[in-house]
Amino acid sequence: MKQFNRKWLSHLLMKGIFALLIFTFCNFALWSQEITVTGTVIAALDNAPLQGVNIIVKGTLTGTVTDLNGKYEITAPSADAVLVFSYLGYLLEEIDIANRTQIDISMIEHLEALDEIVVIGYGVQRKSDLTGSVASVSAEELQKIPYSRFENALQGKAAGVHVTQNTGAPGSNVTVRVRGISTITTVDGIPQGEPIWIVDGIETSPDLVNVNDVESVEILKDASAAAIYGANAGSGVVLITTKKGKSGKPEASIKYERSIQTIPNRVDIATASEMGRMYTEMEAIQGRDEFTFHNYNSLTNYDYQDLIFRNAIVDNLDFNVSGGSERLTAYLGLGYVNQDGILENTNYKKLNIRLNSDYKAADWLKIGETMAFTKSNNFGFEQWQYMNEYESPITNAISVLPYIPPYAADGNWNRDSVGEANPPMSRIELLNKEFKEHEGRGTFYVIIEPLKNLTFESRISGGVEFKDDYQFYPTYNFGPAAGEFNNIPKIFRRMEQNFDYNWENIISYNTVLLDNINLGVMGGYGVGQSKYQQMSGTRQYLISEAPEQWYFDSSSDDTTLTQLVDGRGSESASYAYVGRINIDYKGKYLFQSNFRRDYSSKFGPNNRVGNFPSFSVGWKFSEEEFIRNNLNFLSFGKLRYGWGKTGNSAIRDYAYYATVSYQTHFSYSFLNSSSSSSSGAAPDVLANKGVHWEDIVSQNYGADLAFLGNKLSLTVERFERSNKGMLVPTTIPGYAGWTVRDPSQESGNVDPRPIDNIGKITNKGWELTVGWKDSFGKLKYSVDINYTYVKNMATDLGPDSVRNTGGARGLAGYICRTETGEEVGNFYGFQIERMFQESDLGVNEDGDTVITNQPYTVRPNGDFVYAQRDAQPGDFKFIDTDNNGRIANDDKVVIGNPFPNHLLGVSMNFEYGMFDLSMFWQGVFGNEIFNATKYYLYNNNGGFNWSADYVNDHYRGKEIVARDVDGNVIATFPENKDSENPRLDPENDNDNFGRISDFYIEDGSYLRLKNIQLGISLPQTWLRKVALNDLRIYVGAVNLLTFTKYSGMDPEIYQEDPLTAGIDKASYPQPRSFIIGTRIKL
Amino acid sequence: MKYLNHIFILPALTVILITGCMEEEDLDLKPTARGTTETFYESEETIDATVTAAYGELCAREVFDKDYYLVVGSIPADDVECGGENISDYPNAQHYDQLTHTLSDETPLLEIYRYCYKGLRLCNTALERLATAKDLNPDISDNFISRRTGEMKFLSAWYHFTLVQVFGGVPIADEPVQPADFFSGRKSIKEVFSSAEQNLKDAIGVLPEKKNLGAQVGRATKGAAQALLSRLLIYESSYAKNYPGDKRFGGCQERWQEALDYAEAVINSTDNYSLVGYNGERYSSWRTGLYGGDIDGYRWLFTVNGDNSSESIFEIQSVNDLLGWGSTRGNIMSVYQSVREYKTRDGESGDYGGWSFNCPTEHLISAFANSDPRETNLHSQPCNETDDPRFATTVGREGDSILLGEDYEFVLMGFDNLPTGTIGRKFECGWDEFWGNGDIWAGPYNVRLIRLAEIYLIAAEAAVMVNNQSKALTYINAIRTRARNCGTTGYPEDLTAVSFEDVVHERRLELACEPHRYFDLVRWGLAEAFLDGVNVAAMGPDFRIDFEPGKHEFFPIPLTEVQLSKGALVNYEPWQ
Repeated sequence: MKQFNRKWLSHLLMKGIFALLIFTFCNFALWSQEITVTGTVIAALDNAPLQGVNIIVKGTLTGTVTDLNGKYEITAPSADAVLVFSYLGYLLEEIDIANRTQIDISMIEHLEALDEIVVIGYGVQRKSDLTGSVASVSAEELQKIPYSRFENALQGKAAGVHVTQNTGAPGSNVTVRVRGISTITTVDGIPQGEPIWIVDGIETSPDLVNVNDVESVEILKDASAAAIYGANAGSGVVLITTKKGKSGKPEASIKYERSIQTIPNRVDIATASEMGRMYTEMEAIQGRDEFTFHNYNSLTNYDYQDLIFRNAIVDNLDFNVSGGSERLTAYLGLGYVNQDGILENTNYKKLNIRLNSDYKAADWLKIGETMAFTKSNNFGFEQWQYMNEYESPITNAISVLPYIPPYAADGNWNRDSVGEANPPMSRIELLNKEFKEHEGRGTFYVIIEPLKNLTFESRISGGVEFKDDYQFYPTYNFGPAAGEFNNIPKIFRRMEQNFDYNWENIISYNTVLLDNINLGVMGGYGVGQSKYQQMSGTRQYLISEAPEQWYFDSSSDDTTLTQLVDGRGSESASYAYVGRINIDYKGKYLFQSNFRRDYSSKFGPNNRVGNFPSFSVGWKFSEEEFIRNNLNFLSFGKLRYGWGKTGNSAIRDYAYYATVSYQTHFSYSFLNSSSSSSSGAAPDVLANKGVHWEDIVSQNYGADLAFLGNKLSLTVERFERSNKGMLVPTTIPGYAGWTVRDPSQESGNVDPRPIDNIGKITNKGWELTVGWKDSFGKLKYSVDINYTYVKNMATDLGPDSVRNTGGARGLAGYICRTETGEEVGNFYGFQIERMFQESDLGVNEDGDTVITNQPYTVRPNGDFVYAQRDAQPGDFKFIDTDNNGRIANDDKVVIGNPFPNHLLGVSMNFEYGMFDLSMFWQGVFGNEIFNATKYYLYNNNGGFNWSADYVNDHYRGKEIVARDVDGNVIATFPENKDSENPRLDPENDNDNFGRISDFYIEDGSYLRLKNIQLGISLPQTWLRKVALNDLRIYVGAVNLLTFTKYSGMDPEIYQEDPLTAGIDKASYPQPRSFIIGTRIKL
Repeated sequence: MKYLNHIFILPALTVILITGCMEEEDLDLKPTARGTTETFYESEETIDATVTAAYGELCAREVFDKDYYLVVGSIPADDVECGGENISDYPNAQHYDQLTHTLSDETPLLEIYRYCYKGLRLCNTALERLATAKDLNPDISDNFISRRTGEMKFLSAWYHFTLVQVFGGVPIADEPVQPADFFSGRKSIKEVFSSAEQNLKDAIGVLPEKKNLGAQVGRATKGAAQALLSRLLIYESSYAKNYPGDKRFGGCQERWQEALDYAEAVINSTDNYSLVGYNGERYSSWRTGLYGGDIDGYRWLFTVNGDNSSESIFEIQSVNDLLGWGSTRGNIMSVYQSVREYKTRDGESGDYGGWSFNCPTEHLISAFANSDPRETNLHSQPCNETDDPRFATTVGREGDSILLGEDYEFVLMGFDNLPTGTIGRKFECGWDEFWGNGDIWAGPYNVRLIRLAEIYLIAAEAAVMVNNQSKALTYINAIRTRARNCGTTGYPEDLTAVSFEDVVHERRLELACEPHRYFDLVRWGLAEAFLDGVNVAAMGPDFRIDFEPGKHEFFPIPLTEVQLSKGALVNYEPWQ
């Protein structure tokens, strides 16, 4: 490995030095007639100077922006160059310099800025010239809600982009899907299918991006646009451009926000006396005359949701400063978030620092760098723990019997001897687990323009990532059972590090041929390498429990055999050639083709190369004279079509190698002694040497329209995407001998199954984006709506044509099922037809009164066997879908799907004088949630608390009277035959709740007022007196309203792994928060 | 001057673009911290590591200790009921108990099937490496190669035999299974047996005797191979005798004398094996305190202290290693079979922590009393079931005492919801041995796969079949003598004549709750007679087991495997 590194680096350095030498030499040879132009830019409407107008010399990357007074100065390489003026919301202007040194222009407002420049990957393009599917999200729109993670800010902001926060825990991971589910594969247990994040041209983790440092975000949604990122773009590409420094007077901005978060919705559970009454009813049914909660009315109620949740504060501070001279500009951004979770004892802190600087060393040479650093500390449980009913304190809080006090008389945690759950206080208070992440990246670039319209760009970037987690286990004791005591103080620590390097070189050239043809070509290559290492260990018997002893050399027992260490590592390398041709004929007929050829170490020698071509065409029909002359209301119209191929290389490193390793589960103790096992080693994967790139082919049909002077804009797109040879682990017959039950435990984190190119998932859908922007007197307003319809199908899953996944405590079998020819991740279970009623009773051949109105089988001896043998009135009647007279697994059918088919985002902005009001609604529709929490709340043996609904309303065929030994009536429970809820049945005769059935399926659609904000910007005339440019004060609310039929805490449910999505086990809900904030510009 | 630009810059850029800065060979990254099959197997140690891994699969969590030993091997028989918390606890196991299982109830079967073949893959990898070891490294000793080859052949036979017991004829995995052979069909029972027989005979030729194992008590021995071969031969013989004309058993032959010979080879190897407590010896164990001194041999045999006793022929070496589910080399049998609740002396109840599976039935209890009406033609008289000292070790009833652990008292067992009012006691552990540290899946108790008493009974059965009454008497009375000497009641008394039914009866008592009864009833052709119409108490008084001849002799090959085989695996007809 070392050898390789050295070789690679020296290779890289040699080539780099060679290139620089050549260019240095070329410097002397450069010749041009430079011209410096100055001027003022004003708005045509009111002649006010426009600040921040982008001015570039056409065909180059030389550019500047106007200052506060609209003034600019730019040096163009020749006197016949063209200056391009662009400003958000204004029409683009192209002005020939024609030997002038002063050019003043007035810009015309343009309500839908189709002419803004968008980043498209290895280049930029005018929005109106786009032929692929690219969604732009304005930075302003992103920055309205204080998010601790960048990905969150994209939620609901662009058609085709589905963003879900995995849990509401502070700093929780976010699932982003572009145009549906691209894959069902996982690498090292992590579900794949997320887009790649390209920040300022380099693939970077979005953690490094502070949303306030963002200039613009573009999402490449179809392959005709994304193919330029080839192998890794199969799930979409998000391009983020961060802010650059602006020359002129330094500008600084400070933003401070404080939010208070609350739990928006609780689970409605029985109070202690309701629970006690239910217990009494249950015991009366059992025929008992002694009752656990004899005086149920006097039970003290402990509201455990109250005890574990709190109102929590979030502080957000952002500071940035930008400025510089004409040649050197810099931007410094700093962001800090400190978020307490609404669950007690959880917290997230994050710091982001960014420094971007650009230096124009010569007219033909620009160099610059971007540096970013982030550090985050996440205190709390791990994601899986929040979503695991055995671990989650939230599940615990709603299922514990509420009569039990949280603490015993001696101050220790309490245990419950009646129910099956102990109070959650120990879990919350013992929580001592922190995940720390440090990440940094530095990128250095050079842009050389040796000739007019020819640029060469070289970019070298290195990133580091360190993670440092710990979990401390103190000693405690409040009972003898597992989990109730710990005699051994210990510390677990895990450290991970990841390094990567990238180097990219791009040449681009633009020219005009035959007056009418604009031709742009781009070509280049990139190389990359990354290396990952991890170490973890546990040390027991710490000298003391103080934090300064949480280290591996701090043990009072230096001989113990249970100091476990573990680790692993891997590295990968890749390189690629990229190319693009843009042709535009008469500004009406557009053609673009992207091409990428990728090479990756993840595949074997014969399969390393992947070619990813794409093309797209467009027709600006509104430019045609017959349209322009006849359709006055149409301001812009374009039709486009794109086809392209992207790839996916989401497999573990070395997947094509048959590796052999020593693993604990291969060991065996020939001496029958726990202290002396012989170590065992064996091949741990069945390698598939033939594994190769997965191809993802997509087609996109689009129309961009604008009406009424661009007041109304409309984009409609139709997309189809499917994989070819989706990379998935193949289950091979057990006979081959490669089975393991759980790769994370049994095979040293390696899934032994060979990865094969077999699967195919198809996603098809429509997207609609509508914008309306107008003013009404002094009121300016805009409404933007994006809507997506998407539907997926597992067209082919290879030999594993049925994948059963997902489970929940108390429910028998798997909840989810992904089957060839069906949607991914379906819920699969029994259907409930109705409740059995007394009218279903009859007399069987033994003379017993049973439910006879139900399917049955006849045994050879003539006996009738009823499908639900022990059912009684008030029990669910499950549907015998295969009509075989039995209720068995074969009767399970698809009962729901966790993925929404309809996504909606609506933003509204109003501005009136110094006031502004914005609202943002987000919704998903057409999905179901499997509410696994209901098992606890309806289960019938008294181990857990009941839902308030079930306690207050369930079937009772006749009045039930609870009497004590002496015959005194303790309670009576009236007949209730109209209930929709099944009878209380301690014997669990019919297994009403233990079966996976549509009883647990609920509509997961929701519409949420994600954000509402009211701001006031103090008038400039006041501010000048205190030397401020801008002061805005605002109040707002996040997640203020949610419209949903879903009965659980939060309908925004985990979606990360498509095979187990949408199962609600009372995970951490999204908080509702109220914000007050201020932004000051100096 | 402009001209110059073109001259210098364009070629320079071209050079950079065309040469790139990485070549394809730079992408040849080798796996970190792992060997590859090309480079790993060059020494005795690395080959031995794969031999170890083949043994290691015996410890695969819940497979051979619970799935095979309890759920499939014991629960379907008439001597136990499934138990558990209630009838919904572990539905698949409940269905096996009721013989109402369908193709959907595949989990334990799937694990047995897959882990046998996983073990076989590791055996075959080791065998392949052993065969070519000399080519790679001439220093590897011949002794190492032949011994380890014998061990792998023994294990291979064991995995194959287990597959036949459960599923009938299965695909043979005698060499590494290549992708081209993934979709192989099942072979006949006779073919699998023949292949396993050859492996065992090869193993007998090279394996050391138990006494020469030294500290490595867990390895396969010559005696183990002989014992397994004798077992295989009585299975083949019984199949041939009791299923004439049944295609599933085609080719099987009655080979009783060979079975007797191999069994006697083990029995006569007295410097390696002896019945524990045969002369009334008493032993000390964690259970000692319960009985106010040492305990009898039969009871001691079923304690952790009885691991690798003189009676042991082959055991899965279980250790409580604190490694947690998935990694531990301990067994989960203890927690499955231990009682859920206890009562202390002052009547308070507490949680013992077991899961109460594998509960002995009234049928077994009446067999101990020699009064099961289904057993006729016995040469022993009805008696009180507790007269047989083996009873107390086998069956626990409410009110019996259980030792929680060193720091805890002896307490009465109280039962929560047990269908039979009994609990099996053979695999009980001390509370602190498996539950005290929270590592409930890591019972240290060895899984006794083959023990000498079974070989005596094989010899007795084979002797009956070849009409050698004196040998039959010798061997069956040896078992009864040991049992008798473990108690004080004088029971069970020696037999004076041995019928086939006596062998059936003696196996039932001696091997109760171990994975024999169901497989035995099948091979004897007695399954219908003993199982059909038997009630499963947990299902209520009306439920009767329906044993279907032609179907229930074997469990179906799991549906998932049938589907994965692309049509190569076909279940026996009633399971299709």
